[in-house]
Amino acid sequence: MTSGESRPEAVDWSERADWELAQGHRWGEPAAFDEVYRRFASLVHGLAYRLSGSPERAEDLSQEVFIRIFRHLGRFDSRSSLKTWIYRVTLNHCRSKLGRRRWPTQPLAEDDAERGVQLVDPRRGPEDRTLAGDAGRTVTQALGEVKPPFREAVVLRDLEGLSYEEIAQVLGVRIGTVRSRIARGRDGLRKVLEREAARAAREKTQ
Amino acid sequence: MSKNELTPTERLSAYLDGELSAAEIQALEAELEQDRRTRERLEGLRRVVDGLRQAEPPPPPPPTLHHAVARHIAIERERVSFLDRLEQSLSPLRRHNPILPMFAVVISLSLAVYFLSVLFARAEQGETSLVMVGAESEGEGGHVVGDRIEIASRALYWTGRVWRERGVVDEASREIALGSPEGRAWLDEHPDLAALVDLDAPALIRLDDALLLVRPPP
Repeated sequence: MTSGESRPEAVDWSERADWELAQGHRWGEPAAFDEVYRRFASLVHGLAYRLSGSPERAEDLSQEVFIRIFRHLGRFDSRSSLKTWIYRVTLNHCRSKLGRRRWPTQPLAEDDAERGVQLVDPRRGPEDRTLAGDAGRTVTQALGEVKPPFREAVVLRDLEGLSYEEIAQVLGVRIGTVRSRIARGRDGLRKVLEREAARAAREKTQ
Repeated sequence: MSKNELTPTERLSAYLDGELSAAEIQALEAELEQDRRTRERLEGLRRVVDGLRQAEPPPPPPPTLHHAVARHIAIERERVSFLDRLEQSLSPLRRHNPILPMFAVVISLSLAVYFLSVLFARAEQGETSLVMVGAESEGEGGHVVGDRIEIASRALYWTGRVWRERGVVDEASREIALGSPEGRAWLDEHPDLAALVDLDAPALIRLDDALLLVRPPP
């Protein structure tokens, strides 16, 4: 992206690389930002939903995130991928807006807790898959009991599927820190689920 | 534990992510065969990871989001000023070559100092008396060129009534032609200025707070 590059005439932005979208936005091309929205709306909304736990809140946060992206996309310098940059913008915005709010999940229901450790292989039949989906919901609800730095790392790794290197770029930390946060987040979840399973078992025997 | 040494939980978690080296995997798998508690802990972590990865995907962005973002961005586009865009386009330059903005600051400061010094110099000049010529002259001498009197680096302009310096009324002026009867009479009243008859060009003099244009005899 040098200043010597010439400005294209008619551009089909859907076929352009991410950094070219940033350049197009810098040139004031409305279609370039439209394409950014098309590519990353699901990512932004999904992460906002994961972090807020509320569809309504996720929509509000997503709107605000895209305004921030619009304002700062011209300064994107391609040192990271546009995807990790947008993850970082989204995460930072959600942190600032949700920072002191309680993680908006419901307490684990009794039957959820019972199923909390009964995860099954998704390759099995539809009934088993339903059980697995319930278990997934149980685990994501338990995320509310994990401290934010560890929760963010686990969300980015296990729900968003980012690599350790990508998570390091998003969070602005070293890979060793990423590894530690993921491990502590998962271990925290394990303890929550085992505690809930033990409680459910006790109540069942009474 | 050294900085690079993993805790047992980090080792198990990294194992599930395929982030261990071949040697580390071999060592851990040997330990898993021997140690029931490590195996149970690994299974606990595996259940968490599997549970998270089987979780339902988040809902897709609602159509209302696209409309809301488009509306906000339209407002934002209106708001973005020329200076915002200029600043955005300069930011890579600033990042890659920090000398340029520093150079611009130095130039700006130099220009500011220069203009301030000129202003102060003008203010000081405005307070000095303009001219005294002749045998007892002091201060600056000057010469009339048409309707203009050049005195050192300054110029006075005849407006038809008063001499003005850079548009500011200096004071009332009177013209005295030493070759005329009035001029000779005036010179008789001021014997201390007799040397003015030796002028070879018109001159401006200050006398008793009056500014006078004195023309020598033809």
